Amino acid sequence: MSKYYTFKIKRYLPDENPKIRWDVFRLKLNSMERVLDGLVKIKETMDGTLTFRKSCAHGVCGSCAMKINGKNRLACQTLVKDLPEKIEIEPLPSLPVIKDLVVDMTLFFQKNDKVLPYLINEEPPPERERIQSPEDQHKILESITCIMCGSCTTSCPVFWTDKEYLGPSALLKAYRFLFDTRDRAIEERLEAVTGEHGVWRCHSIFNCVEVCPKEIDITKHILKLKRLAVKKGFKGGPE
Amino acid sequence: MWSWLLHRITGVILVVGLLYHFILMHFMGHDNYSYEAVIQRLSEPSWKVFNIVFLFSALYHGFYGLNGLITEYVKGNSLKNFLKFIIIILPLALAFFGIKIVLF
Repeated sequence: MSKYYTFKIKRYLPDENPKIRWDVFRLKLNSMERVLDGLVKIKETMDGTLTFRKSCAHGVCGSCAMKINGKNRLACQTLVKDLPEKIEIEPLPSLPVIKDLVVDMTLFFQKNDKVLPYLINEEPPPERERIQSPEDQHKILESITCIMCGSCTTSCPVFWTDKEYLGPSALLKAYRFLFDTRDRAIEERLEAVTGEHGVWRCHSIFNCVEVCPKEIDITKHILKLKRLAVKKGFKGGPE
Repeated sequence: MWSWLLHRITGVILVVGLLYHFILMHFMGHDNYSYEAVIQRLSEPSWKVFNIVFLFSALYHGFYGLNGLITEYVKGNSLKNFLKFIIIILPLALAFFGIKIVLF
């Protein structure tokens, strides 16, 4: 069953006009199609200048995160039939816009780098891989599913006002390595997340949990980080 | 980390302390609020300890919260430093007057 939908899209074309403008497109989509299909259809048949990011189109790469009807989500994971007839699309909030729905994610990835997002283990590697038991893997399973689309960090009110705040995504990444039993850099990583703009700036607002397209309970992970930092602090670790 | 932990601990103290304070001041009958009763109560050492703990918890909790607000919302370093200076001086002054009232 197909139906007409109105796409209202926030446009920013710095070459043409430095001012923001809203464009309205009306198109027919069937109930199996997603917001991303609508955007592709607009670009192919109505306005070739519309710019947005997309790669896999199946909720794995995290490129097409944008604000759809006031909520950050993946365009490729949102069926139009679940939305009202009027669909309003904006780029992710609080990051600099490059063009239309494309934002500059540099700041987001810089924060990710700050928590040392790689396995650190100085011990000589065993003959085969470093074994991880299923129980140990289960501890970090939820945080591994993160696709780094940026929905959480850009939905966080603390990040809106404090651009130095690490943000839910980077903190989740820190969790993923801090609670990995094969990792040995607990001290270094804790020092990276417990600064003034680190884990203490989380006020359990739960916006990140609400928008996460992978349904990760990010706030719970950040609170576990706080608990770990307090425990280590009592044992004389970094403050 | 310690500053954050102390914020949580003072929060718990405030919940218990406020409840105690509220019940005592509002539901204990009129005889409790005469000048003599109040003076008598305030001169007890246990009350002095309670009041000082209460005072410090409230000041620390409140001003640590303000510190968080300034960290997150205030842009511009000079204004930020000025406000952070104020929220160190102000609670110290309030603590001084508070202790003066409780002890003397």
